[in-house]
Amino acid sequence: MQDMGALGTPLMYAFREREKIIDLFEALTGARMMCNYMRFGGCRVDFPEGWLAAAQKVVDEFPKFLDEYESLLSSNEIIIARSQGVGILSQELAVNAGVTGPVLRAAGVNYDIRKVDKYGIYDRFSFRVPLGDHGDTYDRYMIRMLEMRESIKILQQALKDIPAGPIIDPKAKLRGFRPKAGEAYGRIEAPKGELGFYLISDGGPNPFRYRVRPPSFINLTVLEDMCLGNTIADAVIILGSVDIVLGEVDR
Amino acid sequence: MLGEGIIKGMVETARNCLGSYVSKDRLTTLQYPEERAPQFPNARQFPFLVYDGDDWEKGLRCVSCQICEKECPPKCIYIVKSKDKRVDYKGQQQFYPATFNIDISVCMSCQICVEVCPFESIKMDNEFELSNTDRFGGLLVHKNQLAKSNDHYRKVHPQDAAESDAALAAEVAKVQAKAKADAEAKAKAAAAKAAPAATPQPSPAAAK
Repeated sequence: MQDMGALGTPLMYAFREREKIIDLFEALTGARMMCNYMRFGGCRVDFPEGWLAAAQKVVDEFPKFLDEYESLLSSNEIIIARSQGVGILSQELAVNAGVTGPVLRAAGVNYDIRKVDKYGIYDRFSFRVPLGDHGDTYDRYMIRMLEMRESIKILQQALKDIPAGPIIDPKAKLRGFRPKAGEAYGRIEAPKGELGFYLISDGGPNPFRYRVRPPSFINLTVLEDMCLGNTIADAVIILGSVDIVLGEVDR
Repeated sequence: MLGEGIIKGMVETARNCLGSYVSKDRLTTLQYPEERAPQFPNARQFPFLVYDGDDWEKGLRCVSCQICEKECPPKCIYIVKSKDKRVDYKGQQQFYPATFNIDISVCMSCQICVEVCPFESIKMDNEFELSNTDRFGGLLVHKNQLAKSNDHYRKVHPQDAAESDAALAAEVAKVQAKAKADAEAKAKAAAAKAAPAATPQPSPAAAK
Protein backbone atom coordinates (compact mmCIF):
# COMPACT_ATOMS: atom_id res chain seq x y z
CA MET A 1 0.00 0.00 0.00
CA GLN A 2 2.92 2.28 0.54
CA ASP A 3 3.46 2.42 -3.20
CA MET A 4 0.10 4.16 -3.41
CA GLY A 5 1.15 7.19 -1.47
CA ALA A 6 -0.02 5.80 1.85
CA LEU A 7 3.63 5.90 2.73
CA GLY A 8 3.67 7.71 6.02
CA THR A 9 1.06 6.84 8.53
CA PRO A 10 0.00 3.22 7.93
CA LEU A 11 3.54 2.11 7.26
CA MET A 12 4.81 3.69 10.45
CA TYR A 13 1.92 2.23 12.44
CA ALA A 14 2.83 -1.18 11.07
CA PHE A 15 6.45 -0.59 12.04
CA ARG A 16 5.29 0.00 15.60
CA GLU A 17 3.83 -3.50 15.75
CA ARG A 18 6.75 -5.01 13.89
CA GLU A 19 9.00 -3.64 16.60
CA LYS A 20 7.05 -5.51 19.28
CA ILE A 21 7.25 -8.77 17.36
CA ILE A 22 10.95 -8.36 16.66
CA ASP A 23 11.56 -7.57 20.33
CA LEU A 24 10.04 -10.96 21.10
CA PHE A 25 12.44 -12.58 18.65
CA GLU A 26 15.38 -10.79 20.21
CA ALA A 27 14.40 -11.68 23.77
CA LEU A 28 14.15 -15.32 22.78
CA THR A 29 17.02 -15.86 20.36
CA GLY A 30 19.36 -12.92 20.82
CA ALA A 31 19.09 -11.52 17.29
CA ARG A 32 16.39 -9.51 15.64
CA MET A 33 16.41 -10.87 12.11
CA MET A 34 18.99 -13.66 11.81
CA CYS A 35 17.54 -15.68 14.66
CA ASN A 36 19.39 -18.96 14.04
CA TYR A 37 16.99 -20.65 16.40
CA MET A 38 15.75 -23.82 14.71
CA ARG A 39 17.81 -26.98 14.94
CA PHE A 40 17.43 -30.50 13.64
CA GLY A 41 15.31 -32.13 16.32
CA GLY A 42 14.32 -29.03 18.27
CA CYS A 43 15.49 -25.51 18.92
CA ARG A 44 18.45 -23.79 20.52
CA VAL A 45 17.33 -22.17 23.76
CA ASP A 46 14.31 -22.32 26.02
CA PHE A 47 12.00 -19.39 26.70
CA PRO A 48 13.37 -16.79 29.06
CA GLU A 49 11.19 -16.00 32.04
CA GLY A 50 8.00 -14.16 31.19
CA TRP A 51 8.41 -14.61 27.46
CA LEU A 52 5.18 -16.52 26.96
CA ALA A 53 3.20 -13.87 28.82
CA ALA A 54 4.80 -11.16 26.66
CA ALA A 55 3.97 -13.09 23.50
CA GLN A 56 0.41 -13.59 24.67
CA LYS A 57 0.12 -9.86 25.28
CA VAL A 58 1.30 -9.00 21.76
CA VAL A 59 -1.09 -11.54 20.24
CA ASP A 60 -4.01 -10.28 22.32
CA GLU A 61 -3.39 -6.68 21.36
CA PHE A 62 -2.86 -7.28 17.68
CA PRO A 63 -6.50 -7.35 16.47
CA LYS A 64 -6.91 -3.84 17.83
CA PHE A 65 -4.06 -2.62 15.67
CA LEU A 66 -5.43 -4.45 12.66
CA ASP A 67 -8.67 -2.54 13.14
CA GLU A 68 -6.58 0.62 13.15
CA TYR A 69 -4.96 -0.20 9.81
CA GLU A 70 -8.29 -1.13 8.35
CA SER A 71 -9.89 2.12 9.39
CA LEU A 72 -6.98 3.92 7.75
CA LEU A 73 -6.97 1.96 4.52
CA SER A 74 -9.88 -0.34 3.76
CA SER A 75 -12.58 2.24 3.23
CA ASN A 76 -10.35 5.03 1.98
CA GLU A 77 -11.85 6.30 -1.28
CA ILE A 78 -8.49 6.99 -2.90
CA ILE A 79 -7.30 3.47 -2.26
CA ILE A 80 -10.55 1.98 -3.50
CA ALA A 81 -10.47 4.08 -6.64
CA ARG A 82 -6.90 3.20 -7.42
CA SER A 83 -6.92 -0.51 -6.56
CA GLN A 84 -10.33 -1.96 -7.37
CA GLY A 85 -10.36 -3.46 -10.85
CA VAL A 86 -6.64 -2.78 -11.29
CA GLY A 87 -4.19 -5.55 -12.09
CA ILE A 88 -6.69 -8.37 -12.47
CA LEU A 89 -5.15 -11.83 -12.40
CA SER A 90 -7.39 -14.55 -13.78
CA GLN A 91 -7.65 -17.93 -12.09
CA GLU A 92 -6.36 -19.85 -15.12
CA LEU A 93 -3.31 -17.65 -15.54
CA ALA A 94 -2.51 -17.78 -11.83
CA VAL A 95 -2.64 -21.57 -11.76
CA ASN A 96 -0.73 -21.97 -15.02
CA ALA A 97 2.02 -19.57 -13.99
CA GLY A 98 2.59 -21.40 -10.71
CA VAL A 99 1.67 -18.41 -8.59
CA THR A 100 1.16 -19.28 -4.93
CA GLY A 101 0.29 -17.62 -1.68
CA PRO A 102 -2.02 -14.63 -1.16
CA VAL A 103 -1.74 -13.64 -4.84
CA LEU A 104 -3.21 -16.99 -5.90
CA ARG A 105 -5.87 -16.98 -3.20
CA ALA A 106 -6.90 -13.44 -4.15
CA ALA A 107 -7.65 -14.84 -7.60
CA GLY A 108 -10.09 -17.21 -5.95
CA VAL A 109 -8.13 -20.46 -5.98
CA ASN A 110 -8.41 -22.35 -2.71
CA TYR A 111 -4.83 -23.54 -2.31
CA ASP A 112 -3.08 -23.23 1.03
CA ILE A 113 -0.27 -25.69 1.72
CA ARG A 114 -1.09 -25.55 5.42
CA LYS A 115 -4.45 -27.08 4.50
CA VAL A 116 -3.29 -29.24 1.58
CA ASP A 117 -0.25 -30.88 3.19
CA LYS A 118 -1.26 -30.42 6.84
CA TYR A 119 2.46 -30.27 7.61
CA GLY A 120 3.80 -29.68 11.10
CA ILE A 121 0.99 -29.34 13.58
CA TYR A 122 -1.35 -27.31 11.35
CA ASP A 123 -3.96 -30.09 11.44
CA ARG A 124 -4.50 -29.27 15.11
CA PHE A 125 -5.52 -25.67 14.50
CA SER A 126 -8.86 -24.52 13.20
CA PHE A 127 -8.52 -21.59 10.82
CA ARG A 128 -10.10 -20.41 7.61
CA VAL A 129 -8.50 -19.62 4.27
CA PRO A 130 -9.79 -16.30 2.92
CA LEU A 131 -10.39 -16.19 -0.83
CA GLY A 132 -10.78 -13.27 -3.22
CA ASP A 133 -13.45 -12.81 -5.87
CA HIS A 134 -11.89 -10.60 -8.51
CA GLY A 135 -8.16 -11.11 -8.29
CA ASP A 136 -7.47 -7.38 -8.35
CA THR A 137 -5.10 -5.32 -6.23
CA TYR A 138 -7.74 -4.55 -3.62
CA ASP A 139 -8.45 -8.26 -3.18
CA ARG A 140 -4.78 -8.96 -2.63
CA TYR A 141 -4.64 -6.26 0.03
CA MET A 142 -7.80 -7.54 1.71
CA ILE A 143 -6.60 -11.16 1.67
CA ARG A 144 -3.50 -10.16 3.59
CA MET A 145 -5.54 -8.29 6.18
CA LEU A 146 -7.85 -11.28 6.67
CA GLU A 147 -4.92 -13.68 6.79
CA MET A 148 -3.38 -11.68 9.61
CA ARG A 149 -6.57 -12.19 11.59
CA GLU A 150 -6.49 -15.91 10.86
CA SER A 151 -2.83 -16.01 11.92
CA ILE A 152 -3.78 -14.41 15.23
CA LYS A 153 -6.33 -17.18 15.66
CA ILE A 154 -3.66 -19.81 15.03
CA LEU A 155 -1.28 -18.12 17.46
CA GLN A 156 -3.92 -18.00 20.17
CA GLN A 157 -4.49 -21.73 19.80
CA ALA A 158 -0.77 -22.46 19.66
CA LEU A 159 0.08 -20.41 22.73
CA LYS A 160 -2.71 -22.05 24.70
CA ASP A 161 -1.35 -25.57 24.49
CA ILE A 162 2.38 -25.15 24.17
CA PRO A 163 3.82 -28.04 26.20
CA ALA A 164 6.56 -27.91 28.80
CA GLY A 165 9.47 -30.28 28.36
CA PRO A 166 12.85 -30.71 26.67
CA ILE A 167 13.51 -28.34 23.80
CA ILE A 168 15.75 -30.55 21.72
CA ASP A 169 16.09 -34.23 21.00
CA PRO A 170 19.48 -35.14 22.53
CA LYS A 171 20.06 -37.79 19.87
CA ALA A 172 19.72 -35.36 16.97
CA LYS A 173 23.03 -34.64 15.26
CA LEU A 174 23.60 -30.99 14.46
CA ARG A 175 26.28 -31.07 11.79
CA GLY A 176 28.48 -33.35 9.83
CA PHE A 177 25.92 -35.98 8.94
CA ARG A 178 25.65 -37.88 5.70
CA PRO A 179 22.10 -38.40 4.43
CA LYS A 180 21.40 -41.46 2.29
CA ALA A 181 21.66 -40.98 -1.46
CA GLY A 182 18.36 -39.78 -2.86
CA GLU A 183 16.26 -36.67 -3.19
CA ALA A 184 13.76 -34.80 -1.07
CA TYR A 185 11.46 -31.82 -1.44
CA GLY A 186 9.99 -29.99 1.52
CA ARG A 187 7.63 -27.06 1.24
CA ILE A 188 5.85 -24.68 3.56
CA GLU A 189 3.33 -21.90 3.17
CA ALA A 190 5.48 -18.81 3.61
CA PRO A 191 3.91 -15.34 3.79
CA LYS A 192 4.64 -14.88 0.08
CA GLY A 193 3.66 -18.33 -1.14
CA GLU A 194 5.07 -21.79 -1.46
CA LEU A 195 8.62 -21.87 -0.17
CA GLY A 196 10.19 -25.16 -1.17
CA PHE A 197 13.61 -26.71 -0.68
CA TYR A 198 14.80 -29.41 -3.02
CA LEU A 199 17.84 -31.46 -2.13
CA ILE A 200 19.69 -34.26 -3.85
CA SER A 201 22.20 -36.17 -1.78
CA ASP A 202 24.90 -38.46 -3.11
CA GLY A 203 25.64 -39.79 0.35
CA GLY A 204 28.34 -37.25 1.11
CA PRO A 205 28.42 -34.51 3.72
CA ASN A 206 27.52 -31.82 1.17
CA PRO A 207 24.41 -31.80 -1.01
CA PHE A 208 24.86 -32.80 -4.64
CA ARG A 209 22.21 -30.31 -5.72
CA TYR A 210 20.26 -27.80 -3.70
CA ARG A 211 17.53 -25.53 -4.93
CA VAL A 212 15.14 -23.17 -3.25
CA ARG A 213 11.75 -22.53 -4.81
CA PRO A 214 11.34 -18.80 -4.23
CA PRO A 215 7.71 -17.69 -4.02
CA SER A 216 8.38 -14.03 -4.83
CA PHE A 217 10.37 -14.81 -7.95
CA ILE A 218 7.62 -16.98 -9.40
CA ASN A 219 4.83 -14.61 -8.37
CA LEU A 220 6.64 -11.80 -10.12
CA THR A 221 6.54 -13.57 -13.49
CA VAL A 222 2.85 -12.65 -13.93
CA LEU A 223 3.53 -8.95 -13.37
CA GLU A 224 3.54 -8.20 -17.10
CA ASP A 225 0.18 -9.87 -17.68
CA MET A 226 -1.36 -8.01 -14.78
CA CYS A 227 -0.01 -4.66 -15.94
CA LEU A 228 -1.20 -4.92 -19.57
CA GLY A 229 -4.06 -2.55 -20.21
CA ASN A 230 -3.43 -0.41 -17.17
CA THR A 231 -1.66 2.92 -16.86
CA ILE A 232 1.96 3.28 -15.90
CA ALA A 233 0.96 4.71 -12.53
CA ASP A 234 -0.92 1.49 -11.83
CA ALA A 235 2.18 -0.62 -12.48
CA VAL A 236 3.67 0.59 -9.23
CA ILE A 237 0.60 -0.44 -7.25
CA ILE A 238 0.43 -3.83 -8.95
CA LEU A 239 4.09 -4.45 -8.19
CA GLY A 240 3.46 -3.49 -4.58
CA SER A 241 0.49 -5.81 -4.34
CA VAL A 242 2.54 -8.81 -5.49
CA ASP A 243 4.69 -8.09 -2.43
CA ILE A 244 8.11 -9.27 -3.52
CA VAL A 245 11.20 -9.73 -1.42
CA LEU A 246 14.14 -8.68 -3.54
CA GLY A 247 16.46 -11.17 -1.91
CA GLU A 248 14.42 -13.92 -3.49
CA VAL A 249 14.05 -12.23 -6.84
CA ASP A 250 17.73 -11.47 -7.32
CA ARG A 251 19.06 -14.80 -8.55
CA MET B 1 -20.88 9.82 1.48
CA LEU B 2 -17.77 10.48 -0.56
CA GLY B 3 -14.78 11.13 1.63
CA GLU B 4 -16.10 9.24 4.60
CA GLY B 5 -13.27 6.71 4.47
CA ILE B 6 -10.65 9.44 4.35
CA ILE B 7 -12.18 11.20 7.33
CA LYS B 8 -12.25 7.91 9.24
CA GLY B 9 -8.54 7.52 8.60
CA MET B 10 -7.85 11.08 9.65
CA VAL B 11 -9.71 10.52 12.92
CA GLU B 12 -7.54 7.47 13.58
CA THR B 13 -4.38 9.49 12.93
CA ALA B 14 -5.56 12.30 15.17
CA ARG B 15 -6.38 9.84 17.92
CA ASN B 16 -2.85 8.43 17.79
CA CYS B 17 -1.20 11.83 17.49
CA LEU B 18 -3.05 13.42 20.42
CA GLY B 19 -2.99 10.18 22.39
CA SER B 20 0.79 10.16 22.33
CA TYR B 21 0.76 13.17 24.66
CA VAL B 22 -1.44 11.35 27.15
CA SER B 23 -0.64 7.68 27.02
CA LYS B 24 2.83 6.15 27.17
CA ASP B 25 1.68 3.16 25.10
CA ARG B 26 1.07 5.29 22.05
CA LEU B 27 4.41 7.05 22.26
CA THR B 28 6.64 4.34 20.87
CA THR B 29 9.79 6.20 19.86
CA LEU B 30 12.91 7.05 21.85
CA GLN B 31 15.24 10.02 21.41
CA TYR B 32 18.09 7.66 20.65
CA PRO B 33 21.48 9.06 21.63
CA GLU B 34 20.08 10.51 24.84
CA GLU B 35 17.60 7.76 25.67
CA ARG B 36 18.34 4.10 25.13
CA ALA B 37 16.12 1.07 25.13
CA PRO B 38 17.40 -1.60 27.52
CA GLN B 39 19.15 -4.48 25.78
CA PHE B 40 17.90 -8.02 26.17
CA PRO B 41 20.11 -10.26 28.30
CA ASN B 42 20.93 -12.61 25.43
CA ALA B 43 21.26 -9.96 22.71
CA ARG B 44 24.11 -10.68 20.36
CA GLN B 45 25.88 -8.61 17.74
CA PHE B 46 29.37 -9.65 16.69
CA PRO B 47 31.91 -12.15 18.00
CA PHE B 48 34.92 -11.35 20.18
CA LEU B 49 37.81 -13.37 21.56
CA VAL B 50 37.96 -14.03 25.28
CA TYR B 51 41.23 -13.76 27.18
CA ASP B 52 42.05 -14.59 30.79
CA GLY B 53 44.29 -12.54 33.02
CA ASP B 54 45.60 -9.06 32.28
CA ASP B 55 47.66 -9.46 29.12
CA TRP B 56 45.43 -10.04 26.12
CA GLU B 57 48.21 -11.46 23.98
CA LYS B 58 49.23 -14.09 26.51
CA GLY B 59 45.78 -14.91 27.82
CA LEU B 60 43.90 -15.53 24.57
CA ARG B 61 42.02 -18.81 24.86
CA CYS B 62 42.02 -19.35 21.11
CA VAL B 63 44.32 -22.19 20.07
CA SER B 64 43.87 -21.50 16.36
CA CYS B 65 42.10 -24.78 15.61
CA GLN B 66 40.31 -23.02 12.72
CA ILE B 67 37.00 -24.83 13.24
CA CYS B 68 35.13 -21.53 13.32
CA GLU B 69 36.84 -20.46 10.10
CA LYS B 70 35.57 -23.61 8.38
CA GLU B 71 32.05 -23.48 9.84
CA CYS B 72 31.41 -19.76 9.32
CA PRO B 73 28.59 -19.59 6.71
CA PRO B 74 29.62 -16.26 5.10
CA LYS B 75 33.34 -17.02 5.59
CA CYS B 76 34.15 -13.82 7.43
CA ILE B 77 36.83 -15.25 9.76
CA TYR B 78 40.47 -15.34 8.69
CA ILE B 79 43.03 -17.14 10.88
CA VAL B 80 46.74 -17.72 10.48
CA LYS B 81 48.15 -20.33 12.81
CA SER B 82 51.30 -19.53 14.73
CA LYS B 83 54.56 -21.34 13.96
CA ASP B 84 55.51 -21.86 17.60
CA LYS B 85 53.59 -23.08 20.62
CA ARG B 86 53.03 -21.57 24.01
CA VAL B 87 51.51 -22.59 27.33
CA ASP B 88 47.75 -22.13 27.53
CA TYR B 89 45.44 -21.79 30.54
CA LYS B 90 45.46 -25.57 31.07
CA GLY B 91 49.22 -25.68 31.24
CA GLN B 92 49.54 -27.45 27.91
CA GLN B 93 51.55 -26.49 24.87
CA GLN B 94 49.21 -25.05 22.25
CA PHE B 95 49.28 -23.03 19.07
CA TYR B 96 47.90 -19.52 19.13
CA PRO B 97 46.50 -17.36 16.34
CA ALA B 98 49.17 -15.25 14.66
CA THR B 99 46.41 -13.41 12.78
CA PHE B 100 42.73 -13.45 13.63
CA ASN B 101 40.52 -11.15 11.57
CA ILE B 102 36.76 -10.93 11.41
CA ASP B 103 35.13 -8.87 8.68
CA ILE B 104 32.09 -7.61 10.55
CA SER B 105 30.64 -6.10 7.40
CA VAL B 106 30.20 -9.72 6.23
CA CYS B 107 29.37 -11.30 9.59
CA MET B 108 25.68 -12.10 9.99
CA SER B 109 25.72 -12.66 13.78
CA CYS B 110 24.57 -16.26 13.49
CA GLN B 111 26.55 -17.47 16.51
CA ILE B 112 27.69 -20.65 14.78
CA CYS B 113 31.35 -19.89 15.59
CA VAL B 114 30.41 -19.74 19.27
CA GLU B 115 28.59 -23.05 19.10
CA VAL B 116 31.38 -24.95 17.37
CA CYS B 117 34.25 -23.55 19.47
CA PRO B 118 35.49 -26.33 21.77
CA PHE B 119 37.69 -23.96 23.81
CA GLU B 120 35.10 -21.38 24.91
CA SER B 121 37.27 -18.77 23.29
CA ILE B 122 34.98 -16.96 20.84
CA LYS B 123 31.81 -15.40 22.21
CA MET B 124 29.17 -12.91 21.11
CA ASP B 125 29.36 -9.28 22.18
CA ASN B 126 26.38 -6.96 22.47
CA GLU B 127 28.19 -3.82 21.35
CA PHE B 128 26.14 -2.33 18.52
CA GLU B 129 27.52 1.18 17.96
CA LEU B 130 30.13 0.22 15.42
CA SER B 131 29.73 2.91 12.80
CA ASN B 132 32.97 3.85 11.16
CA THR B 133 34.25 6.30 8.58
CA ASP B 134 36.39 3.66 6.87
CA ARG B 135 34.15 1.30 5.01
CA PHE B 136 36.62 -1.53 4.39
CA GLY B 137 39.50 -1.24 6.81
CA GLY B 138 37.41 0.01 9.70
CA LEU B 139 35.07 -2.95 9.57
CA LEU B 140 37.84 -5.54 9.32
CA VAL B 141 38.47 -6.19 12.99
CA HIS B 142 41.89 -7.49 14.01
CA LYS B 143 43.04 -9.64 16.90
CA ASN B 144 43.90 -6.75 19.20
CA GLN B 145 40.43 -5.20 18.74
CA LEU B 146 38.68 -8.56 19.08
CA ALA B 147 40.37 -9.53 22.34
CA LYS B 148 38.20 -8.71 25.31
CA SER B 149 38.61 -9.89 28.86
CA ASN B 150 36.60 -12.61 30.53
CA ASP B 151 35.28 -9.94 32.91
CA HIS B 152 33.74 -8.21 29.92
CA TYR B 153 32.07 -11.47 28.94
CA ARG B 154 30.76 -11.94 32.48
CA LYS B 155 29.30 -8.46 32.25
CA VAL B 156 27.51 -8.83 28.91
CA HIS B 157 26.21 -12.38 29.30
CA PRO B 158 26.35 -13.27 33.02
CA GLN B 159 24.52 -16.58 32.73
CA ASP B 160 26.43 -17.93 29.75
CA ALA B 161 29.72 -16.75 31.25
CA ALA B 162 29.03 -18.67 34.45
CA GLU B 163 28.38 -21.81 32.41
CA SER B 164 31.49 -21.32 30.35
CA ASP B 165 33.62 -20.70 33.46
CA ALA B 166 32.29 -23.90 35.02
CA ALA B 167 33.04 -25.85 31.86
CA LEU B 168 36.59 -24.48 31.75
CA ALA B 169 37.16 -25.22 35.43
CA ALA B 170 36.02 -28.80 34.86
CA GLU B 171 38.37 -29.04 31.88
CA VAL B 172 41.32 -27.74 33.89
CA ALA B 173 40.50 -30.11 36.75
CA LYS B 174 40.39 -33.00 34.30
CA VAL B 175 43.75 -32.05 32.81
CA GLN B 176 45.30 -31.70 36.24
CA ALA B 177 43.86 -35.03 37.37
CA LYS B 178 45.26 -36.62 34.24
CA ALA B 179 48.65 -35.04 34.81
CA LYS B 180 48.60 -36.32 38.39
CA ALA B 181 47.60 -39.81 37.23
CA ASP B 182 50.34 -39.68 34.61
CA ALA B 183 52.88 -38.65 37.21
CA GLU B 184 51.76 -41.46 39.51
CA ALA B 185 51.89 -43.96 36.68
CA LYS B 186 55.36 -42.72 35.81
CA ALA B 187 56.47 -43.05 39.42
CA LYS B 188 55.01 -46.56 39.54
CA ALA B 189 56.72 -47.50 36.30
CA ALA B 190 59.99 -46.14 37.64
CA ALA B 191 59.50 -48.16 40.81
CA ALA B 192 58.68 -51.26 38.79
CA LYS B 193 61.79 -50.75 36.70
CA ALA B 194 63.91 -50.38 39.77
CA ALA B 195 62.65 -53.69 41.10
CA PRO B 196 63.85 -56.82 39.30
CA ALA B 197 61.44 -57.99 36.61
CA ALA B 198 59.50 -60.47 38.74
CA THR B 199 56.52 -60.70 36.44
CA PRO B 200 57.50 -61.25 32.82
CA GLN B 201 55.80 -58.92 30.36
CA PRO B 202 53.31 -60.78 28.12
CA SER B 203 54.58 -60.74 24.59
CA PRO B 204 52.33 -59.32 21.81
CA ALA B 205 51.87 -62.81 20.37
CA ALA B 206 50.67 -64.13 23.69
CA ALA B 207 48.31 -61.24 24.11
CA LYS B 208 46.66 -62.14 20.85
